[in-house]
Amino acid sequence: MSFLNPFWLFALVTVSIPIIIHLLNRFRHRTIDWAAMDFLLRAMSKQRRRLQMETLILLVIRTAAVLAIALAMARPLATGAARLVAGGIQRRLAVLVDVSASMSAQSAAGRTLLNEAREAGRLTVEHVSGCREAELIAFDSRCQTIFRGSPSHLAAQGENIFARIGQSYGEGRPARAIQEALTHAEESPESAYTLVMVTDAQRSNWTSTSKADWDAIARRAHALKNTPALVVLVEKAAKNENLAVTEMSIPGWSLMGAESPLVHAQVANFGSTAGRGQLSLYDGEALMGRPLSVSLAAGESADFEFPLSLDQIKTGRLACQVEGDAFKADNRRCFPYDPESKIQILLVNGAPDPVPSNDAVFRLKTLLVPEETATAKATAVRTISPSELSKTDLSRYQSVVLANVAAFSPADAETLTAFLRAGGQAVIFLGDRVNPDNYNKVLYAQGNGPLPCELRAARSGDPVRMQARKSSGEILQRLDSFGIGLESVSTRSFFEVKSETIDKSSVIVAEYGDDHASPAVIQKSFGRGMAVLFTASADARWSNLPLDPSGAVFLYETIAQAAATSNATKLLDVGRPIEIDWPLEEADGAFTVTGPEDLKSTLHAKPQGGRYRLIFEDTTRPGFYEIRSGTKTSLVAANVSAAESDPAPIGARQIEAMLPGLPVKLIDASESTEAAMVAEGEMGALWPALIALAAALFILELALAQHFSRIR
Amino acid sequence: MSRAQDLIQPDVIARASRLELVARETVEGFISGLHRSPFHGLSVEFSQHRNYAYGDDLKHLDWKVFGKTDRFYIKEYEKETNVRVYIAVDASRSMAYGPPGATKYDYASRLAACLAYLMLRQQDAPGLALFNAAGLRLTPPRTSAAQIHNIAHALVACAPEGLTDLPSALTRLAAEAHQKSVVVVISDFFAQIEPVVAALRELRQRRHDTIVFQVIDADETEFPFHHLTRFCDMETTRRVLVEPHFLRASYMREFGSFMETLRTECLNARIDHRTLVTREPLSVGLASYLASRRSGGAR
Repeated sequence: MSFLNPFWLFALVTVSIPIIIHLLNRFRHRTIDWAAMDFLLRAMSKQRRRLQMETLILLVIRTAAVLAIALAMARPLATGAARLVAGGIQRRLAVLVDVSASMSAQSAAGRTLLNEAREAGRLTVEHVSGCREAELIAFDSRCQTIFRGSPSHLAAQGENIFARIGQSYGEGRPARAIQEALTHAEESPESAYTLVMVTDAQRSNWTSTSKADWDAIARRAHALKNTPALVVLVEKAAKNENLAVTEMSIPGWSLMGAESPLVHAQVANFGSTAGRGQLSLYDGEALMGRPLSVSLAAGESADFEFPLSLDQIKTGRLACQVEGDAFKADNRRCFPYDPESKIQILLVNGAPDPVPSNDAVFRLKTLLVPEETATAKATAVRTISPSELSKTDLSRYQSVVLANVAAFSPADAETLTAFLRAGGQAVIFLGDRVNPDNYNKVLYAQGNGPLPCELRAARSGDPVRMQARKSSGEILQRLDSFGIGLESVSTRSFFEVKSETIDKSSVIVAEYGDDHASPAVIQKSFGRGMAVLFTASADARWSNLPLDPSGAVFLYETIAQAAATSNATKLLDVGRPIEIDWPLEEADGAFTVTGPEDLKSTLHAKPQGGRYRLIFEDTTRPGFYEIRSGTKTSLVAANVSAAESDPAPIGARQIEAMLPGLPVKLIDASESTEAAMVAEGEMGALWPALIALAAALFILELALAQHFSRIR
Repeated sequence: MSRAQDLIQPDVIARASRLELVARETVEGFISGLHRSPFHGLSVEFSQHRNYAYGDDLKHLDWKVFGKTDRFYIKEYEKETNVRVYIAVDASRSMAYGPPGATKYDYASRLAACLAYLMLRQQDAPGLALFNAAGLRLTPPRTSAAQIHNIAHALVACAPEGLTDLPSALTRLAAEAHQKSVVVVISDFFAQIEPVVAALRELRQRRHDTIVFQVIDADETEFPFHHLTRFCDMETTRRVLVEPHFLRASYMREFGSFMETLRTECLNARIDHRTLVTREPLSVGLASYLASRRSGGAR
């Protein structure tokens, strides 16, 4: 027998209560001067043995009743193979331990949640008997099977095996862990599986998986002969302040002709109490500028900005750090920055014009390349003709701007598609040369191409204003916060679009002020990249967009976003793989990776399509990862996902809603895992029987007391 | 204990007086007036003979003189003598049981006073014998009106204490009392029953008309206790801690057996036995007894 609340075994001392009451009552009595003592003594002498026996019986019954209640409070369980293998079902146990970043937070006991989880997992395996097989899986966004084999072996070697579970700093993905366990379960579909997940049960970890994926998991679970039961043991972090740097970036607009770009940082307080501290900017280990004071109420966040002195940057390993708290992993956020690097932009000029004001590319070049005096030259521009497009290696560029290109060949479309799928950005301006039928056929390709929608014919008329959609993208929202709008942008001619062809992957960022609110800017996610369609031209004949200050900022930010998108390969969450395309001519065939905590690794890659495709998956620590080959280096920063900072837990009902039909039990990890087993009927909870026994004993005691009283 | 005057309860006297107190046996003397004494007594003295006259009761004819003289003479008595009544009241410590003012001794005292008053009204001579372990304190029988005060004062002056020594007290009383007296014993009789019965039989053997009033408290018959209680013997140092409800049935069997034994022994010895419970009004119990005695139903 084992106990869910062994602490309550201390209540066993209460069995002495009836005895103590019995003894105390001997002191708590009334005294009477009595005349008929002879009769009383004679009655006593005749009843003495009987009285003693009856008193003893009643005392034993009372004590047994109290004992039953005390045992019930300790919630004993009937363990043993007899219950667990009832019906001949082979049972298996999978212990899934969350090793995500949030598990490095401290518990109330001052240990990390992962240490607590190791202990809870070990105790689970120790207490559960009757399983034929056990497995131990560590998970964050990836899964690692630590052990598969005999539960007795896992229990015997528990400390050693559970010690192999290392802390990762990736984002928790419980869905992945369940999928992994289901994969194992499908190998022996006759077995009944119990999945015991030891985690801090962050809501964000569960909700980041789409409903479709959860439905697929539920279907897989129900496809098994015995639907597995899910037990979530929740480890709780200590309640205190939890400041986290949730975002760090250098806004593109701040690079535009600025002497000192700004480093933007967002700090949030995920704790339950107000948080105070200092936010500092580092370049490597060197402190840059003065720290900023942070004072945030619980649940509050705030934005901070550091002016960046480009001449002081030595390593380019920028980091914003707030003072430490119980969860240190999210206090620092890294950002790789190379002042020498520029956003590489390829301009495809479809209609060169000797008159500069009529040449769209001229206007774009003027816009994108800042004046000569600017310290930060964020962009580098190259112009080609449409015929050169399919022959150009687009992987060198972050953004390709297509200006009034009349038509695309299938080869052009294939080149563009590959570029976008790899994470590039295409900005498409239309114009008087554009053949909409060609665009619809080649670039839209029934929704499979990068064009966000099909085009109709161009229309001209009175100038119409451009305005942002309410649900416009991040750029316009940010510009709006600075008081910059698109109202001053007027357009005389633009292409109408077939609105019905705009699919869910597309967003109308801005529209015209005509009667139909025709789309002006449509953005489409395509592969890992993005295509942005301007339905007007970039030259001054159709629109004043490139000339208008707000329009210019909008254009610049849109293209700078491409840099940010492409920079995604250099800025990622811990646990996500680093994927880099490395030009053949800049590699010597060997790639070395150095990372946090003296990580050193060698990558082997084969040339593919004129470049090396490098993938490095072991990003388990937050910090900078440097990939070197020959003289070229590439710096990547891996940060703890901001989602890991939010400790808000998920509830059992939400999990049940995600996994309909699956037996789910969510309990405090301080309780034994067996509690969950009880919930699933795998172990016998004895407390109801004990309570019933106690009630029966009390009734018996009353009946016997009355009976004894009658027969005397 | 109340004052002496309180002992004479008018309602008791009034209710008892309404009964036709007819003596069951007239031994030797008569009470003046219409009523015969309910108590036996032979206390008359011969005065002279006179000639028989029509209407005289033949049972008063002196047949010895007729045998000698062939003449009818009626015996006349010089003076009617009264019955001597000894009211023996138990003054041991056990009689102190009961709430203040309503102890068994209080009840017994009122009973004794009422009886004494009745005796005096019938020209009988009541006396009082208070007894406990310290001995017997006797107030000799008198017919004077002041006797009621003597008896009352003796009752009031005595506080119940000491052990019960009922057999010794009754033996001594039997020796000191005039023959053919009426002996009324008022006690709870909480003692060894055999010596007590023997002493009562001795009274009867000395031709005393013996009446037993057993005064008990309702608690003693019902044992109405519930919680753990320590019972301390009122006459000795014995004490016992018991759960009363565990013992009630057994105790009541013991007590009932004692009461039945005493009643049976009294019946066998031709002794009137009456149980009076202190909770019941004295007048009811007394009147009931006198009524039954008048009708010859006592015992």
